Parts: sequence; C-alpha cells; structure tokens
Amino acid sequence: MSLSLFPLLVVLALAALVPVECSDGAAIERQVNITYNPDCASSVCQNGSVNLVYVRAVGPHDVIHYVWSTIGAPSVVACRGSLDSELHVFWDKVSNSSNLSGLLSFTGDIYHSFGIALTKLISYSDDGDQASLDGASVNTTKMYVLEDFEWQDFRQTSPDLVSSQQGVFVARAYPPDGQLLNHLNGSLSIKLTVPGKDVRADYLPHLQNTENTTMVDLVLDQLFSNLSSARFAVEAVVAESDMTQELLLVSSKSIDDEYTPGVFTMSEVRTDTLGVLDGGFVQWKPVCYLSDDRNMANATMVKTSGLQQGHLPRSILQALVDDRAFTLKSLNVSFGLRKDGWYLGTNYTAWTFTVGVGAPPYEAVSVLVIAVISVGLGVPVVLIALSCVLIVVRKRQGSSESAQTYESINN
Amino acid sequence: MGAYVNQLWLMDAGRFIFGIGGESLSAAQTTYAALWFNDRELNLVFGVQLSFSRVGSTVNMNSMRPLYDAITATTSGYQGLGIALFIASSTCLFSLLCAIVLGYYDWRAGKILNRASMAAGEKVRLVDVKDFPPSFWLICIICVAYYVAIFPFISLGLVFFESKFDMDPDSANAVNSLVYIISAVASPVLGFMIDKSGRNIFWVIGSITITLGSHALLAFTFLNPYVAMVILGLAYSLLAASLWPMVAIIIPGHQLGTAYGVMQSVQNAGLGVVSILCGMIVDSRGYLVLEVFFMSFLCMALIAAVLLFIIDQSRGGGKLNRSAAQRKKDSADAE
Repeated sequence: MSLSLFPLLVVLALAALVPVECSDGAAIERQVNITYNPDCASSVCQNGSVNLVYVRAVGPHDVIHYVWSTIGAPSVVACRGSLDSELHVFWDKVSNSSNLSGLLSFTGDIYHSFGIALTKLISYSDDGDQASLDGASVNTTKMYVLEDFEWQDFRQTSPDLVSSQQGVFVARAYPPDGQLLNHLNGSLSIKLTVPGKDVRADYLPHLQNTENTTMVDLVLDQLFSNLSSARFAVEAVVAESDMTQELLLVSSKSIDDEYTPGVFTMSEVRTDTLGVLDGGFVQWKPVCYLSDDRNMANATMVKTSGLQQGHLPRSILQALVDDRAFTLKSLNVSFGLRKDGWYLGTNYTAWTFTVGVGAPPYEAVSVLVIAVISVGLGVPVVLIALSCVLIVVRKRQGSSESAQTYESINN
Repeated sequence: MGAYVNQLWLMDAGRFIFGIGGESLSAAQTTYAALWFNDRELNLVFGVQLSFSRVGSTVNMNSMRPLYDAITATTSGYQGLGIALFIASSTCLFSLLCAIVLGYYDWRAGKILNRASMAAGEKVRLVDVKDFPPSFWLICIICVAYYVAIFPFISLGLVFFESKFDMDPDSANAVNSLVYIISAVASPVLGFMIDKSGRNIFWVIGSITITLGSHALLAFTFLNPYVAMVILGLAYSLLAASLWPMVAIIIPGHQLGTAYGVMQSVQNAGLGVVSILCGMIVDSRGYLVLEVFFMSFLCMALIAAVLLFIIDQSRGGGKLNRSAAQRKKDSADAE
C-alpha cells in the first residue's frame, strides 16, 4: 500500500507547502490617468527635450502617483498618498543644471515614497569570459553617465500613451561619446507600463504586476563599444522615504519556473517590513534576453552586486527626497553569463523589472499546475489503490476456494 | 565516408544504414542472450550487457573530442572529421569480428546440444506478432513509459541543474552522466541479485517507484541533485536487468527475435515522439511541469506493472514472478 500512497503524499505535500494563486474577487483596480509634462507652459516642454510623465492611479482608499522622467538620470518614482493628493511641477526649476529639488511638490498627504534611478551605463572588457563586473579592471571599463543622454520626443515615441498605458523613452544621443549610439545606429530605451491592476505580463519574463506597480523594460540595442569582449551593466540607485526602514536585496528560490522557464529565482530590492501599505520594492527575475524574440534559447543571466551606499543623482529622485530623511542605496546590475557570446553576440540585451509600493507580489504555483499534478499523479494512485484492493480480495477468495477443494477431496 | 568527401546525402545514407544495423544488432544480441541463458543467469547477463554498452557510450563521449582535436591539428576541416569517423567505425569492425566468433560458438552449441532445427514445424512469421500474449504488450508499455522519463530527462537536464541548483556547467555535466556511470557498474551486480532472488515483477514495480521518488526529489525539493541522480541510476539499472528477461520467459524461442525487435521499435518510437514534446513543454511551461509530465508517465508504467502482476498471477500462472528456487525446480522438471 505504501507504494501507492507515495505519489499521493507528494501531491498533498506540494499543496500544503506551496501557496496557490487564486483569483481574488476583491482585487483592486486603479483608475489610471496619464499626462505628459502636466501644466507646462514653458517652451522646453514643447521641443521634446524635457520628458516627464505623471501617472495618477486612483484606488478606493488612496492614490498612487508615479512620475517617470528622463530629466537628469532616468527615474521612476512611486508615491502613495491620500485621495485628495495632487502633484504640482514647478517647471522653472528644470533649468537648474545641478539640483532639481523643489521641482515636485504634492498637496494633500503623502504616506510613502519609493523610487529608482538608473545612474550609469557601464561597459567593461571581459576577455576572460567571466561575466563578472568585480573582475573588470579599471582601465578597460567605461562609464556612461545616464544624466548626460539626450532623449527623443516622448510624444513621438509613445503615441498611444493614454490608451495603452505604456510609454517608451528612447535615447537618441550621448554627447560625450557620439560613437555609443551613432556608430551602429543603436538606441537605449526604457519602456514603462502601468496596468493599474493584477495582471501578469504577456511577454517573458512574465512578471506579475499589481495595482501598485509600474513595469520597466530596459533595452540596450546596437550599442557600440570598442572594448574587446565587451559586456554591459547598469548602476541604479534606490531611494526610500522612510529613514527608519532598511533596504534589503533579497533573492528567493522557488521550485516553480512555469512563468519563466529555466529561472527558479526571484530577486528584489525592498524595504525591510512586509507590511502591506508601507514600503516599496523593485522586483525582477535574474534573467535578460539577447534578442527581442524572447525565449529560453536567448536568455542569459542578470547578476547584481550587493547594496552599497548610494549617492543621489540629478534626477526626479532628488525632487522626491527633497529635505526629508531618506534611505539611499545603489547597486550594479550586470548582464550576461559565461559562454553566451558577450554583448557582441547579438548586440541586444533586454531586462525587465517592476517598481511599486507596498509588498512585492509573490510567485505561487498556478492552479493549472496543481490541477495537472493532481490528475497526472492522483488518477494513477487511485487506480493502483483499487488494483491492490482487487488483489487482496482475490487472494482471500482464492484461499477460501482451495480450502473448500481440500474439504471435498477428504470427503 | 560522407564526411570525408563532404557530401551530406552520403552522411545521411550512412546514418540510415547505421540505424538499421544498430537496432537489428540489438535485437539479435538480446535474443542470443535469452536463448543461451534462459532460466539461469539471464538477469545477470542483461546487466552485464547493459553495463558494457554504457561503458561504451561513456568512453565514446569522452574520447571523441580529444581524438577530433588531435586529428584536426594536422588535417583540417571535413577531411579531419572524416578521418575521426573512420577511426570510430573501426570499432565496428571489432564488433563484426565478435559477431562472427559468436556465430561460430552458437553453431557449435547447436550441434552439441542437438537443438531441433527451425525448419521442423516452427515457422517464423511476422504475423505471429498478433499472437503475442497481453503480458508482452504490457511489458512494452512499461518499457516505453519508463524510458521516456529517463532519456529525454538526461538530454534536457544540463540547463535544469545549472539554473535550479546553481551548478556550474562541469558539475552539471557530471551529475547528468551519473546515471550512465552508475548503471555501468551496478547493472551486473543488480542482475546477479535478481537472478538469485527471482520475482522480476516486484523488482520492476520497486524500480519504477524509486524512479518516481527520485524525480519527485528533483522537482519538489532543493536536495543535492547527486542524491536523486544516484538513486535514479540504480533504479534504471534495476529495471533494465529485471524487465528485459521477462520477455524471454513468456515468448517461445523461435519468436524471441521478433519480440525483442518489436519492443525496441515501440520504445524508440515513443522516445522519438516524446522527446519533441518535452522540448515544447520546457520552452513554454518550464521544468516543473516537465518533471510532472515525466512523473505521470512513470505512474502509467507503474499501473502497467501492477496490471502485469495481476494478469500474470491470474492467467499466466505466476510465471513472471517466480522466485529463483521455483525456477530451478521448473527447469529441472522440464528436463
């Protein structure tokens, strides 16, 4: 009997240990209003050199304000505030070339703010094919400061901004080093999507979005580097408005890779508390893709350094953390793995992450997989149990019959 | 030869001929083994046979690369490849030599034991296949359902070990080939053990269950994969040593070659189809679902094995599951 119980035990253990995703009828959906360069009369807003997208996601009890901007270093910030809170942009501060504090101001109550800025694009030489930023020597490493990039007119790159709730910032030039983008006619683009509800992305790595997240796709396409065996990495800075909370870099493993085949880890930078309303997170799967046709064959690894003390770049983040106590950490994210052909292999790398407030969504085994396991293992178990019963019954019958036979012979 | 003259169609033709020859060889040698060792050390012989073929595979995998590298140091391109393949095919000549020696011994044994010649009444016809007992078809099902959970898994295993268990490519390779290495060593030993104890069906059921457990360990836990793969290797050897001899017990001698041939082709057809399916599953749904897929095939094999036991006990008189002592008695009675 123990033979047949085993698969059943496995199914039960799985059901008990692994949380199951259920479609919760009470899931919140936010009303999303997106405006580009809100209330800006100044001429800088018309020629496309200044890009600021304000997303107001209204829920039943609170509002989440997202600001996506490439003023200074490209950043995404998310602030949770009261229902009557509003954002005002003081556009005259934009021309300040060193400090953007005072650019953003909120009326109403803001409970919590969280943001990420991409500060540097790093290209390093990896002749030894170790795919590790740690081993790169200083001589063969180039830093491209993202504050100095020039960006295309957002209205042209994102014509369906309001209807699709998605926009993309495309860098068109890097004045300090024209070759980076011009030599191969390349681009560095940042695509942002705010679904405003619980939905899983329909392209790899199928990250889970909630009503409190913005999804960000960073694409390095046809970038040029004259370093041999070049690889790329980015430096990012994460800011959190509550000084009492620590920022953690967490990597958690799961047995389930059904949404991102071959990837069993989930990484995030989040605040220390898992309280639902306070805190923020950046979440990603440690995988990036070497082609815009994303699949397992052209997936490679994303490695992160530990969290280090961060330094605030000229960016929306600066406006956000304006004279309040804040926690600031930086980390390096490098793309690639040994033997994947370096960046040169395809001249393309795409990485996706989500930024949000509250608690990060957790991957759970889907109902489909649980169903497959139950049927695939459960049905045979039942059949085996039945057949064992059959055997036992037959043996009993057999022995009682032979006993009778003996009787009649003796008589 | 195709490689040497750089013609793809010739290579394809060569591979086709190799495929025909390889499978026929396999069926023939299994039949010879059954004819010579039936009722005695059959399990041990199958174990040794499996062991030798695994050792051969391992040697091949490890030696072709250095051989190719050494040759292409002097002769480049497709000619170098051609020379490497010629050297590899010289081992086929050795195999031919062994086959000739085997043929001589068999003819000699036929004369000494005065074996009734096949012309006397027992004609061999392909149509006999329909007369094969249901136990045979169940054995085929077990064979297919079990092997599809082993071979496609090993071919897709590298990335699984690297990403889930964070192993570097060399360790992942080592863990993956554990199954073959272990079966090379364990098959003869386990075969010997099964000969001593008999009760083949129990061993088959046990081996399938152990394999299920090993897949469950790999799918649902993060336990060191070495453990699961060692267990898998042992279970695989156990099954091979106990399953194949069962065919010899229920099929009469003159149909044995056909039976083994059928079993081989069913196994290969199943493997071919399932391998494609496995690739699709991994690409779309990941490794956890793939493991569950394998486990459900193993459950099918388990059901077939239990059914086999039931049918054998009720209709076959328990022939397939006799202990070694009973078998000795039976063959003594027959003589």
